[in-house]
Amino acid sequence: MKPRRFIVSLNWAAIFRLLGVLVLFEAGFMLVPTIVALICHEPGAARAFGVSAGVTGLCGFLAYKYIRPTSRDMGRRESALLTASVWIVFSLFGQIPYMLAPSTHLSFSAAFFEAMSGFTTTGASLVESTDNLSSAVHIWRCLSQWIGGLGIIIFTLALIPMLNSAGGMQMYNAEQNKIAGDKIRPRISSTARRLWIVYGLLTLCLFMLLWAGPMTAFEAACHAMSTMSTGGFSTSSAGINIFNSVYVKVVMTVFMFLGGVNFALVYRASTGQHHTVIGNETFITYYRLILTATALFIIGILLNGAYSGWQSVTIDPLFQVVSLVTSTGFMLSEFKLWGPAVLFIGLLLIFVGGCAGSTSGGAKIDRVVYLLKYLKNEIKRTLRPNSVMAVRVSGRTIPMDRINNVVAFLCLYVLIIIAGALALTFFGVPLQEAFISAFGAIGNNSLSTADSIVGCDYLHLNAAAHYVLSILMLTGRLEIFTILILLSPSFWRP
Amino acid sequence: MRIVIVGAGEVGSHLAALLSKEEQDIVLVDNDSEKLDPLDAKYNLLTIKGHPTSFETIRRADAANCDLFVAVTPFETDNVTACIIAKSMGAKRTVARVDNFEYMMDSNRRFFREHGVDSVIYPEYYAAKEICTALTHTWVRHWFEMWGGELILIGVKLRENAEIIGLNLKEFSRRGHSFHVSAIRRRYDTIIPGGDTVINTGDIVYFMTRPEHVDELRQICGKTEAEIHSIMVMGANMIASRLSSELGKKYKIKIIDSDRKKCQKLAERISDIDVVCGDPRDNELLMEESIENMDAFIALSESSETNILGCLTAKEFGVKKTIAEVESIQYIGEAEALNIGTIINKKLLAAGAIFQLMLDNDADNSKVMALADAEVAELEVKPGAKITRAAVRDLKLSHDMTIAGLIRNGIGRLVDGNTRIEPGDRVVVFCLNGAIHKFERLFN
Repeated sequence: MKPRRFIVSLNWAAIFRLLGVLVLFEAGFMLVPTIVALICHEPGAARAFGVSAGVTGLCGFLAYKYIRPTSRDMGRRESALLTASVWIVFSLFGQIPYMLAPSTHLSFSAAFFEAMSGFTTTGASLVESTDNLSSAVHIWRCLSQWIGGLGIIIFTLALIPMLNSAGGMQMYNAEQNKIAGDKIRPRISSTARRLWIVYGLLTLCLFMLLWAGPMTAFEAACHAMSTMSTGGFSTSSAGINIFNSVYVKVVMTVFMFLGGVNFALVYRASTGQHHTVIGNETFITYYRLILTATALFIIGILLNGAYSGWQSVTIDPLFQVVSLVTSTGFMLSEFKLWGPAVLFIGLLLIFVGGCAGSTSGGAKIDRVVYLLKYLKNEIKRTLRPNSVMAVRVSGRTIPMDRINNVVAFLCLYVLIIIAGALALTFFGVPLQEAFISAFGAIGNNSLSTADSIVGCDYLHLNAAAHYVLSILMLTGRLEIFTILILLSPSFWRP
Repeated sequence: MRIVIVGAGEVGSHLAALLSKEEQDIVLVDNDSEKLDPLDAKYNLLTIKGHPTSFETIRRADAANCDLFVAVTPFETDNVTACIIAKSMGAKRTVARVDNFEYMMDSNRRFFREHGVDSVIYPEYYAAKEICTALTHTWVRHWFEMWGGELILIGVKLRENAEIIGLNLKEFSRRGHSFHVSAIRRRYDTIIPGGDTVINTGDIVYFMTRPEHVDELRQICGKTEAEIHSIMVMGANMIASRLSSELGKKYKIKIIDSDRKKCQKLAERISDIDVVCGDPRDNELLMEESIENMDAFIALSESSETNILGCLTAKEFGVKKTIAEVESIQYIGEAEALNIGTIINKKLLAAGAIFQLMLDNDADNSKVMALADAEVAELEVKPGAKITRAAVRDLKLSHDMTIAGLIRNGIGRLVDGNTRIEPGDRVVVFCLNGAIHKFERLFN
């Protein structure tokens, strides 16, 4: 096929055809809950998932078969549009089972929210009581988090050779974090494949460890997927409190921690390049932040008189800190007893998030590190205006335009929280709830649990609020710019 | 194939972009992240920032496991040093870009090989060679000889006076010529033609033919050969100096440059030429230096735009053959449309040399010429190769390549649908960009 000489108009045909291919993969994933439903004798759920997989597969097949693009070229605009739309399209198809399954029967907007919350690994849920869900729905919720955890585009890059090109590269850039910017192999498909192997193996380890503990194989599978992806869906409405097991908490803490580390770094460490991990300032800041926050949590707990045995000053605060900072969002039932200071630190952790290039949400530690170093330089400069300084992270100088990007990102992040909260208040959400749920949604962290003192009960939100939160989740997952440029007129009229 | 390219300058970044489209694993190294970042975001490759001659950088690029290590920074010594380091780490094959003719000479090749530089490329030298060919065959755009001239690929720009305008290829071949139309460059695209493709005015048509039919081809294309005696060159750079030492005795060469130091240096180095210091864009100066009497005008300044316009001016003065160095790939199409005779591009010449190394580890067994969006390669067919299994028409070759000719037992012949290729034949393949990696499956 010839390269296009003029690229003023968007290559819609190529976008739709590729979406078709990606949707075919989703249909394939839907077969997993279908099989689970058949095994567990859930005829209603089996029908719902069978129909969903059929519809999804058919749409994908038709798009793949009948849309014939004249050129395969994907420019930067097409890549951004495709990356953003693939998440929306995945949620649109992924919500069908929630609408059809007898154990959920959600409305359109609620089902969309639920699916988006899954793929973006937010973990907020509109299901009244998770205990009554069929196993197929449980699997689908956790599976969608697992797929979304590392990223839909990066998953498909590993599998479709067609995308092993400059276009695929740009889609990877649109979905992945520009800050991490780590390619571990020259070709994008082999980079993607290696990241998925790391991710898959970690999930498998976690599953084995959980299964060896108090969980059944089914619970272990669900929790392994939702923990590794730092999503936070659970098979029980009480979350992981129901297991009341130190073992589960320890294992999950370790794997949530890994889920919050840059996967390229995990890969390098696993291939014996330990020096890259030891010298990585982001990683050092990450674990120091966790240790400091845990210490502060313990102080808060003791001051608040919430001491209730050795666990409450060791594993409990550590688990909760890691769960918050990686945006997993598992909540211990004790959390609400720990007092406002702990809650406040918790909110800060949600804002910061994990390392760039990981499955976690938030503004990302890398950006905070850049910002702090930059601020330090700026403060020095007020005293000695002529000094020339560079922002140096992990021994490398960070170019100024990247710093500008980080500052812009953090400003936008805050602005979007405010705008989102404002929109929510218009739809009747009380002020505090609006702020905290917007804050949680963009950080891909579900702050709402029925027994928590913070956040809102998502159940009584209206349809408009569902969409607002869904958009916030997606914006947070794709790290703002990919979504924001779609809203700018210059994107559509270059 | 894993290829490490050091130096993201013009040549390096062009190579990296081209090879990443050929589905190779590319690692690009440079000291300047401003050069690397746009390439990293745009192409399917890995970039590493670091000094080209630092052990640590070369280790990070994993040169130990690379099949080809290409050093194309602007500095010859850096390139050689980088190659030596890479070779010592275990790179399979190393190539350094040089700008010294001595280093190209066969007698010195052994020295380099012993020190870890397996091959050298010298784009300015290739450019000078290309200009020499263009001056001997003034009526063609491209002239590419295979196997010591047994087969020749000729690119000709056709005008209204060519006999074959308006014919489709079926009619053309029915006339019983011994030409193979390998490709047609039309405006910005190169097409591999089929039987129904019609030849239009303004097309650059690539014919494959044998040496005895060249004159016949010239006639049906409506071209005349011009004798070249005197040449005016704009720009006293490396290519001009190389060209002067190759051709100084054969032609009368006059070189114009506005930089007095460069002129002085060139005049001191080469004796048989006439060096003029002045602005080559100044028409009065050109007339003073009797441009009307020149047979050829070669524009080699640093700016592609100046070169294109310079050639157009020379045409106005009645110069028969003009040659322009156009370094911007996008401008090549425009320059071709503007009737500037031959276009020289260092990047493409270097790319051809690298492709040659990629296709064949012995390097002497194949030959590649890179065009703006296509490549021509001559290579040997290995026993048991897929291509030998059936006649060409039954092979279902992909549409982005065509087999133009073959050399069997030292004798060149053209290829048509009924030809069956045998192991040991040397075939000439014309393929569009991004198709070279398919050769491996076809010919080995």
